Amino acid sequence: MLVIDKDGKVIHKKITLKVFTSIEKKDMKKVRGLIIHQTGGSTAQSSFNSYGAGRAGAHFLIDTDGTIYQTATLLKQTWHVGKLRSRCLAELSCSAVELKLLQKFDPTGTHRREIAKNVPYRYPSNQDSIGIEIVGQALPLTQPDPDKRTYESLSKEQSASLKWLVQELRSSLSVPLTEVFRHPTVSYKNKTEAATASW
Amino acid sequence: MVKLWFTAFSAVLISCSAHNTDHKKSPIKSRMAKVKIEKNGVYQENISSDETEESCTDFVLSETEVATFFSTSRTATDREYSHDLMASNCSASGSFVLEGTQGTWKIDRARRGFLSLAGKTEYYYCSECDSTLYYEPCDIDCIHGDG
Repeated sequence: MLVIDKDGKVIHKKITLKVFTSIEKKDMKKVRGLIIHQTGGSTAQSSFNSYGAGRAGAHFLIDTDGTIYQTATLLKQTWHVGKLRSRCLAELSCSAVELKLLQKFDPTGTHRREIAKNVPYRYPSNQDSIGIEIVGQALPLTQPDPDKRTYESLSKEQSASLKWLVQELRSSLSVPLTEVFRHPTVSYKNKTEAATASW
Repeated sequence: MVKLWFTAFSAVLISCSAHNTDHKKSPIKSRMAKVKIEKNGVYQENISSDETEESCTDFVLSETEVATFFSTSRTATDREYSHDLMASNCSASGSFVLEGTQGTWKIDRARRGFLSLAGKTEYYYCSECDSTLYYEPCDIDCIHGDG
C-alpha cells in the first residue's frame, strides 16, 4: 500500500515528487480508473515544459530510465483524457435507444451522454481517473502526419515501473483491473499510443 | 477522388493572411500558391474512433472551405496536434507550391490541419471554421471541460 499524504502526494522512495500546480484542476472526489498514455516527446523535460505552461497534463510520468515522477496531487483532476468514446458500443452492451443514437457519429453528443453515466457504465474520465504518462515518441519524425507515426515500445525499465505503479495505485485506491485503460481505448487518439504497455 | 486545381485560391489566402497576426510565424500558410485538393472524404484507420469509411464519405471540402481553414485557424503545437486535440479518421488532403517546391496539406473532420514543405510542418486548429462538415468545435479547454 502506498502512503499518500494529506496533500495527495505519494511518499515512496521509488517516486520522485515534481508537482506542477499549473496542471491541477478541480478537486477529484474519487479515483475510479487509471489511464495510460505516452507523451509523444523524447524526454521527460519536454513534458515538464508543457506542464509548466499549464492546460493538459497527467498525475505521473515515467521517464525512459524507469524513474517515476509524481507531477500532480492525487486530490486534483488533471486534463489527460479528452472526449470519451462510447463504452457500451465497445462492450456490446448499448440499449436499443442508444445504439440508434450512435448510428450517426457525433463525438460531442457521445461525450455528453457518456459523462452523464457512472463508471463502469462509461470509461473513467478527467473527473475520476489518474493519468500515467510514459515518455515515448511516435516515429518516424520525418512523417509530417502525426497520425501515421507509430509510438515506440516501452523500455524494460518503463515496463517494470508501470507494472509496479499500476499495482500499487490499484491496491491503494481500490481500482479494479477492469478500469485500467490505454488512452486510445477511452478517447480519439493515435491507435499505437501505449500499445506496448502492459500491467 | 476529387481533383481540382485552383490557383485563384492562393490570392484568397494571401489576402486573408495579410490581416493574420501569425503571418511572421506562418510563412508557409501566408505564401503558398497553387493549392490543389487531391483527396476528399478519405477514411484512414490511424485513430481509435468509431467512425466508419461510410461516415467519412460526406466530408468533402470545397476550395473555399480549404482556404477558410488555413486563413482562420490558429497555430497548434506538434504536441497539441498529435496528443491533446481530438483526432478524426476523416480527412481531405492535397498539395501546394511555394517558390517552386511542392508541399502537402491535410485537414481532418475534427478541425485539425497541417502544411508540410521540405521537412518543415506547421500544425493548425480551426474553431472558427463554420462549415457544418466539421465536428462541433472543441479546443483544448473545451475537450477537458467536463472535469
